[in-house]
Amino acid sequence: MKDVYILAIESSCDETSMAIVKNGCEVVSMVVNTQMDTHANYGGVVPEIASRMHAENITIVLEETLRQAKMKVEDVDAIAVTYAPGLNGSLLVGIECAKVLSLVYNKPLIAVNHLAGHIYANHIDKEMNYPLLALVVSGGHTDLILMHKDYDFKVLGRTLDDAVGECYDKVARVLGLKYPGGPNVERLAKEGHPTYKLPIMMNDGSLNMSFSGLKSAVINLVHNETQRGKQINTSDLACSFENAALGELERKTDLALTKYPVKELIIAGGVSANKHLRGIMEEVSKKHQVKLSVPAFKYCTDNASMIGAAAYPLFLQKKFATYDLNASSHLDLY
Amino acid sequence: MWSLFIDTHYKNIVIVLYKDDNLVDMINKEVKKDHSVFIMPLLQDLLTKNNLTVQDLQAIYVCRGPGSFTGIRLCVTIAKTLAYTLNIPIKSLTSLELVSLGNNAFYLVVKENNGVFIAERKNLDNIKYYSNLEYQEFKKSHEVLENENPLYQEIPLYLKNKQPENPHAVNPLYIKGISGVDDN
Repeated sequence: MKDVYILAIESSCDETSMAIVKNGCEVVSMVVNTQMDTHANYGGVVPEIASRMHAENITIVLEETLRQAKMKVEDVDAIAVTYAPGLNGSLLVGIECAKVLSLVYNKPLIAVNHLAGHIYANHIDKEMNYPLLALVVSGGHTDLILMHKDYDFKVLGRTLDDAVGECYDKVARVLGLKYPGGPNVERLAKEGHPTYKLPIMMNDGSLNMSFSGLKSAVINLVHNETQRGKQINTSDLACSFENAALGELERKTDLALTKYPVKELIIAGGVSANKHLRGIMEEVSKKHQVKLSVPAFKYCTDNASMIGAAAYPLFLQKKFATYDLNASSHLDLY
Repeated sequence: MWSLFIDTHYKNIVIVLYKDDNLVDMINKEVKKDHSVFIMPLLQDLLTKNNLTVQDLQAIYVCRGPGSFTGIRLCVTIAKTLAYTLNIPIKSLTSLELVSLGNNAFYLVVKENNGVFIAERKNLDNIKYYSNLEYQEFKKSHEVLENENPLYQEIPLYLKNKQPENPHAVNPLYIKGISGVDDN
């Protein structure tokens, strides 16, 4: 079969990224223009600033992606773009750019869900072995998903309130850590011990999760100790928090694997870059004798390669989008 | 020579087709929301109706704002991507320059959801934002003309002597700050 090259665009949050992906698994080139330093000044992503920076950078990122691949848009077979979920204004920049590329070069347009992208990051440089269990952990999602084949997503459980990544960011704030919270909490946690007692969430037989209680517990603990004039040991608290949060993911993933025999456990989303989580999931997968798949670090955070990987099955199924494609900030994949 | 002007700085989607600097056809459609659903299909329709493809275009004109933040991002992103990929010249004008075409008003006014942008004709680059309340006050002491129907046919001539811009560097003009960030 002829090789399929997809030019993919991702602009759902604070990264302007484009990539050319061959056959859904081989990254020919990838450019990620991150705005992290800008948003760090505000303690989080400012949607309007993110959208402005996408509009400023979009054609520059395109030029660089093509230059690195030594390819022209004429050489690709399709244009893929993230259309949901994400920041509306940011998504729209990528979407309109993708429509123009599709029109000018007469290439099919493929609309990709950002979360499908995170899952398919596990298809880059490797296979996905079905049936599989996917743990999607990011700033917006904490889901356990069962897949029997391509684009067959069955939600087994999910967070009933905050996403685990969001919880990390909030805890980072009360600990006085800079944005992005996740990696900074992880770094601090490594130096500490789990000395603070925090609640165990959703300790039931379901596969649903909850993180807002843990978040509130940390905030209240810091508040109470400060009121009493006591010093917080931030590294110990970061460690206690991480143990509690990752413990929840561990228990529920373990339970899901007990209930649903699969061949592979995959972790996806920004929080999958957390090394402590990777270690825990290695243990869990060993216990259940399933293969563990985690994306390479550069494909954990937002990037266009994963969008190109997720677009490939849609290309084969000829599921193309039309030029009335709109952005959607809250669209569930499943 | 075919050229195209795109403007979505407020409620209307305006796409104008010129042949040798003369207006041949245009779309001017008011859309309440979700402009991105309509712009590219309308652009494609306009070209198809005139038996053209994007490859026939030899210049792009775009209104870079100020106006609706999302609106100006949409038309600028489309215009700069078109110019960059087709490798054709792109020239931009502000929404104040746009509404100055076809009238002699001293003050020019561009509406936005919660206010207006105002500039003096003799100094169109000096654009100020007024909230609706401030604008009501302004109108008491100044004679203004809200020009909803600029002369789109004058755009190619107006931009004739302007040098084409680097498509990478064509960016929306916001003027108004971001609430929560630029306040105080």
